[in-house]
Amino acid sequence: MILSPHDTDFSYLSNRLDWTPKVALVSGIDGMAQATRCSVGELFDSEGRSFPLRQEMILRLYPPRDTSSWRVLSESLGTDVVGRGKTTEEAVNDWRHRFRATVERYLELRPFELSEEEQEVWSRLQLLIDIPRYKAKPMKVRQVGRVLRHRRDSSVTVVEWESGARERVNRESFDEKFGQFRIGQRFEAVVTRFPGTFKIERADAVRKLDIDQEKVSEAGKAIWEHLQSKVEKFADANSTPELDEKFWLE
Amino acid sequence: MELKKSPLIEIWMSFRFDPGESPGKWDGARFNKLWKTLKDEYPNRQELRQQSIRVGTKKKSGDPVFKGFLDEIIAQRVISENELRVVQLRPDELIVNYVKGATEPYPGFESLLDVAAARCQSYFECYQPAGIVQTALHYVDIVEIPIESGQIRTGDYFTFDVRAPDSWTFGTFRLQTTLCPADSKEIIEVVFATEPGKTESGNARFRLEWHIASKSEDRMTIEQAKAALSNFHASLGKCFRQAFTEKGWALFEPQS
Repeated sequence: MILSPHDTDFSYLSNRLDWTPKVALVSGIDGMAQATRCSVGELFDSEGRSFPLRQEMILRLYPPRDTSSWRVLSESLGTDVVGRGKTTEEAVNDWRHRFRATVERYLELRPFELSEEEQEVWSRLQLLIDIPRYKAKPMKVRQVGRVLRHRRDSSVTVVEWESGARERVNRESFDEKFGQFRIGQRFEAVVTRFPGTFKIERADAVRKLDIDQEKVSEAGKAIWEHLQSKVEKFADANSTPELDEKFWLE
Repeated sequence: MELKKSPLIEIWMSFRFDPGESPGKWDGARFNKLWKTLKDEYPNRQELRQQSIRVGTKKKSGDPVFKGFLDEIIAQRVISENELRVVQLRPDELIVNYVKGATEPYPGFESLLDVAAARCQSYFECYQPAGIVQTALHYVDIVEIPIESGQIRTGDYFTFDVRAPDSWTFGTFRLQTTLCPADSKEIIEVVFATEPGKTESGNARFRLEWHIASKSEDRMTIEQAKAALSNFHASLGKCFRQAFTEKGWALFEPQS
């Protein structure tokens, strides 16, 4: 067999196969029999969100030989990400840190910014991580609206947002108090929405709003102007000859 | 024959026990029993836990009822300070690992076998099983091969091979097979594969795994298990040598 080492980057292809040993005791304890092999559970980004993995991530640990540190590689990524540490724990943590940094770096780059080699690494990472799912992180938005109707036969409340859009929301996603808001009550809510469907996942906070002062003052102004014009018209219609100021002063 | 540059990276021996007629429940206290006797040598402990939800049914309606969470230990392993020695425990199973590293010279198979037998003895003292029903020996080797003129002809180094059309070149491969060597009664499972990434010195790496387990389900004593493991070691030693060509064997710098 002739092996072309330039192509060893395709290692992830061969490792997709799950090895199920045929001899009873060979497997020992799943994921534990080999001390030089371990499975990583969840992997998180710097904000604490987990990367959705498409397959189990198996790490290979290499004990210190020429150097004094343990080396950790993932079966799927090979030397793209290497962790080092004086202990296995340190090396695995270092690997986690480097993995996170690598993924986040690639996430920030546009496809045209990647070199050919980087594109290959990025393809391998995408085979491991469900990037569209990772990117589809819920959005948090602040919205102002008013209650139009509570449906008593279900947990649905119809609201009208400031934009004029009407939406049926599930009261159970909101605070308990929300169900007690009167019809017409204005409120402000911080809601988490799914980016794909823009549906509300949950309301993180909701509070009643006082009467809209701006609208009140606008309405008041309009009423005042209206009244003023009425008064002027009335005054014109019932005008009396000008009085001698002196008369009044006396 | 001693190898100056041995490719061995890990060796482990496993024992499966017959729990006897009244096996105890494997809870945290039972797992810790063995660790307490090994604590000085293996101060670090890790547990493999499994969380599950218990669901029952209502008697009358048959509707599902939530009965609570179950958090149980399914395996435990204890690790030496230098992280090169590990003892793993699962209900009715004991595994004793050794990882070859720079911080401790390789003590040799006989010494490791004595350690494994001593751990087995501790298991007997803690859990009183009726006997050993199976034992197995496992080796993992990482073989580094220098890349010459951009390619490696594996046939120059290994007697194992994968055939493919002449015009094809392999990127990576993983060969897993069960073999029965001519002079062995036992079946040996071998994994021959490329290992991710090149080394810092630019060598390509290959992984060889050797697994051999006893077939007999007859109860064994520790001494019998030791004898079986010694035989396995001898068998695997022969297979290991036969797996390499002279050129491949020379990589390990054998010392006569």
